[in-house]
Amino acid sequence: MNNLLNNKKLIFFLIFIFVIFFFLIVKQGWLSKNLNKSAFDQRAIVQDQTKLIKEESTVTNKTGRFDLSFDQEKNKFAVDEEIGIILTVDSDGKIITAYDVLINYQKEAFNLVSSESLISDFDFFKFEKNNFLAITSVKKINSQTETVFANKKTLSLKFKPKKRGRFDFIVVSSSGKEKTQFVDKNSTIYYPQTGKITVEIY
Amino acid sequence: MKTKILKIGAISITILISIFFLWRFFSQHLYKTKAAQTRVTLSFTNQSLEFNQNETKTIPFTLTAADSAKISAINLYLKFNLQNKDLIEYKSFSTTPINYFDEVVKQEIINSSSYGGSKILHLVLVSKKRDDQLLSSLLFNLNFSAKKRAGSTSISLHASTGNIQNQVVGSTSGYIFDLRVNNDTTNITVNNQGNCSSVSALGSSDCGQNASCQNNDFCVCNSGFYNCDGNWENGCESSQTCSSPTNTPTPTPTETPAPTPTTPPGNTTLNLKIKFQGITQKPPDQYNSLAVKVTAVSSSGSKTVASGNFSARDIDANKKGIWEGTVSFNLAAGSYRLLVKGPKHIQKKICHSNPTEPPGGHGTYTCGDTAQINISNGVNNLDLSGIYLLVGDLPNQDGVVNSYDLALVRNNLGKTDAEALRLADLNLDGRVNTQDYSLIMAALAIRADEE
Repeated sequence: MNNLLNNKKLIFFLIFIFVIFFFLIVKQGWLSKNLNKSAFDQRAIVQDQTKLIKEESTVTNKTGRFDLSFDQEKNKFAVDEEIGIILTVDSDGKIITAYDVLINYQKEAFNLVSSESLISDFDFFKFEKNNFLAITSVKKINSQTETVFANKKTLSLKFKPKKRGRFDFIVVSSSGKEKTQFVDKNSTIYYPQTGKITVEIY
Repeated sequence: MKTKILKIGAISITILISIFFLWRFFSQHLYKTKAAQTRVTLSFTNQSLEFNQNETKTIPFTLTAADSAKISAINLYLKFNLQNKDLIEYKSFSTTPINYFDEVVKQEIINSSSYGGSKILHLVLVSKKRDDQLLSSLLFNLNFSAKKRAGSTSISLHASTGNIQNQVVGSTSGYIFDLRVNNDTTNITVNNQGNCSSVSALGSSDCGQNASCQNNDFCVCNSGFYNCDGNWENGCESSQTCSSPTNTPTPTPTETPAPTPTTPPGNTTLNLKIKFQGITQKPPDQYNSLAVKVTAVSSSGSKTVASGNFSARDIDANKKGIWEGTVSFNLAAGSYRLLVKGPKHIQKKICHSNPTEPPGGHGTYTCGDTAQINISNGVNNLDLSGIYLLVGDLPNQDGVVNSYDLALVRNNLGKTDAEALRLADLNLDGRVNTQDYSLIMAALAIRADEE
């Protein structure tokens, strides 16, 4: 009898505890939901908006595309292992005379070892700014051919990592007065869509 | 015994689960409460700013989070042009550090009926950086350009109301800060000037009677007329030379037929001699007029802009390639640095009244840290012809020598038509050729306007 009474007490105690748990869990869920309801309370939500807006602007304003890729089939590299990055340009059928590209990367994490144009009749000039690399490339003065870039590999960059971590290389649309852009044979400026790659250094 | 062990086990598990949930609940709830109470202060750097008409200027403000909390995103509504005053136009923004925000989610201008009619700049910016790369203090630079009308307006944070909710967000695990405002407004004055366009909304020049618009930029009095009251709405109202020296239009050099604009009257006049890279002799008369923008930067950093047309005088052995012209400002007497920019040139910062650079060392002059030019009210004669203004930033200028400038010269090689020459004939020899191409390639080494 005494045992039964004790067991009953225990069962009531456990039920009581679980009611409290239930209350806490529901309350916590409600709180989180309310906090998340605000359209701006967490970056994840805003970033979702970002994707939408980005897609909208992509449709309306951009011509062509500037993308980055690795020259090897991997995105994980050891510290001190050289990383090859390729700039691929699509001029959307436009006959291109010159282009500028801004590539953002973490200078404290990488050394730029070398850069090389992969298009023989284009000269290129690089400018290392605080947080990005600006490259201007122009068709050579004696070149007579018309050039349309269709996912053309135009530039090879070699970097050497200095520290471990995950890092982005981003073609940025603009920074201050500098812009990623290309110019056609009529001197019309076009602003391309831009891409990025992520590298893991171990 | 078995029952006892079961009992103890059940109670222990229950207590452990309780502790876990209580810890989770309180840590999250209490943390969020604390984050929500952390303040971020928005403060406009300048209480007031003066614009010249058509001038673009930066309006800075800071966001600073208390307790070293990190800022990851903003959603701000800034109101300007209240009472439907259409005085300034939003152009762009930048931040310090630059590229702090990786994504511009929204950058839009909303027409609002609030404040008697106003415009609202809505900025939603997100940083995707890791938490340890986020900062607690940011500087925003809003670039606005003044329109072609004088008046006063302001820019400030719009009150949070209804759909307009200003928000500053913490790091990923944080929430919205409590946004406060310190210096809440920058007052803006757009000065009355003679800037113009050739065709106004009414179909004629903006410059009033007896005047015309030069290069879509300056009002110029017709020959024999003078703008003595400084107001271009009534044009050049006087056929007599103005009695006050400050209202006297710039005299046209007798040696050159090129029209000289009447610069807006100011209390300070600079008679300048300058040299342009690549132009080694007096060009044909039709090209012998170059519009030059001069910005006077005070010790405190405030900028005043004036423009004038410069002409090359007849060449002799000692004055080879020297161009002369006049600009007029309203300035307090004091120490200034000058930013000088030609129509196809990179802006040069000059801090000496007679700057020099070694022969062949075009573009090597630099200001140094402390040098400034003493400018007094009245007429100041400055000989800046010891250095070259380097070519490179071609029309329409954006402050950088880039692919557009290179392409402009390359695409026009061999051309002699007026439009090609206007845009890409850098040495004013009447043809776009390899000399121009060489000049623009050399300019890449400098790359950008000096500020």
